[in-house]
Amino acid sequence: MCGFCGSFSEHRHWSAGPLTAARQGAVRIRIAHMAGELAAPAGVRLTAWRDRFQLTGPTGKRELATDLASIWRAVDRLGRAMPDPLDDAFFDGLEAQAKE
Amino acid sequence: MTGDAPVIVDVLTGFLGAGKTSLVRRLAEAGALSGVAVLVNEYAAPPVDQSLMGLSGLKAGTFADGCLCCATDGDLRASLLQLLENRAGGKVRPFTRILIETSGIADPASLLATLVSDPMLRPRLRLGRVVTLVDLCHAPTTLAEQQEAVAQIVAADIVLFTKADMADEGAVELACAVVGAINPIAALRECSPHDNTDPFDLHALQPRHRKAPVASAVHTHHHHIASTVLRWPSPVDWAVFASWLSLLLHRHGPNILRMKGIMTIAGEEQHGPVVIQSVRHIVHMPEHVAQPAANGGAEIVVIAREIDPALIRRSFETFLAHAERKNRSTEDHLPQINAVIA
Repeated sequence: MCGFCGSFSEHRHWSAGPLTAARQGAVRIRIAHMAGELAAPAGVRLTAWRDRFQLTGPTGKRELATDLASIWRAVDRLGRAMPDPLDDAFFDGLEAQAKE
Repeated sequence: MTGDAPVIVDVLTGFLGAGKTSLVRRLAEAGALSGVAVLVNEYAAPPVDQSLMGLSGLKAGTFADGCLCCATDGDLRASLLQLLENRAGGKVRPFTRILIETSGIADPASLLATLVSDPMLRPRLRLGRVVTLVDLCHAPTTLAEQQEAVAQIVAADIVLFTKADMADEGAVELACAVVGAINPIAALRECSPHDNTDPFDLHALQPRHRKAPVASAVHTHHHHIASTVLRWPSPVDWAVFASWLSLLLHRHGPNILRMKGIMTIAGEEQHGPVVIQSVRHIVHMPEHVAQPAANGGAEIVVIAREIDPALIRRSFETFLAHAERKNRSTEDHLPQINAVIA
């Protein structure tokens, strides 16, 4: 039970999805990998760490995040750029990889 | 706190004078609101003639058929909590649904955000339908000049056109074209003054099911609003989609007005597809549904403001294709990796 609001339900970010508990751990690792792909141009690395995500910026500074929303806030603080999936740099980076 | 199932919350919205209170009154008189608590904000006239009685801070009246009507002072969150406490404490008649009649100048997005994200409301409520009333006599002017009216259309699951009997010839067709361009997700219907069909009844009025939603665009006085359809032909890797969508909403949430669609998750095919739904940066918790996905993959309508929707579609397709390439590459190298480990 939440000690603050008395709610019995634990908050789950939508990105946890409708997945079974057994799959949550594997999906967290996969999210770290795929969000890491999006954060890489900003110089930020992501790893799944216990039930959280660990982010390491280009200077070596680290932060922990609980879900994808907090991951992107941390990437904005740590990274050398703010990744944008509608930006030319996003398309250029992925399309260049496709040609490799 | 009770162990009861979450209470369904339906939202009735529409610009000033669209006929919200009249519809609630008609539904109540027809007995369609039995077991429903109606929450009316302060700007609208309460749809009951009985004298209101105070109930633990909420002004509440009761229809003869058992519908509970409450007037709120504008703080809907506090009013909802009070209503739920009163229900749990047996201070009001039991109800299974709450119908919120918003102010005519309300942007329903903030209300929906509260329902979906508030830690005290979220476990106790479940969002039902958003029904928006559009006055056919004033629709072109209102939609061109009032941002709130456009926001009410964007949030709608069902749009009901009112006052057709007073409108010019061709008003329905014109309104359908404009409203359909703003929100291609919503079902559009006429609502006569004698129509007592409950638009919140899932069985009485089905939302339009579009097998092939189409992209559209419309210019309002304030904004360029356009929509597109994200399609993927096979089950989608949830981690890929969630990573991409969360970054899109983090960066552009205020301008991604609405998303709604259906998607089959790779590895979860046996549970059926999930409904993907968001209003601005707020995403509803995805839930499995019984209906089959249109193409066994994903089909999601996106309504955006001041963003070229083709760019959103290109981004979605580019990232999912990138993830598939990465997957294939990993699978190709697995024998070599296993050999090194061995």
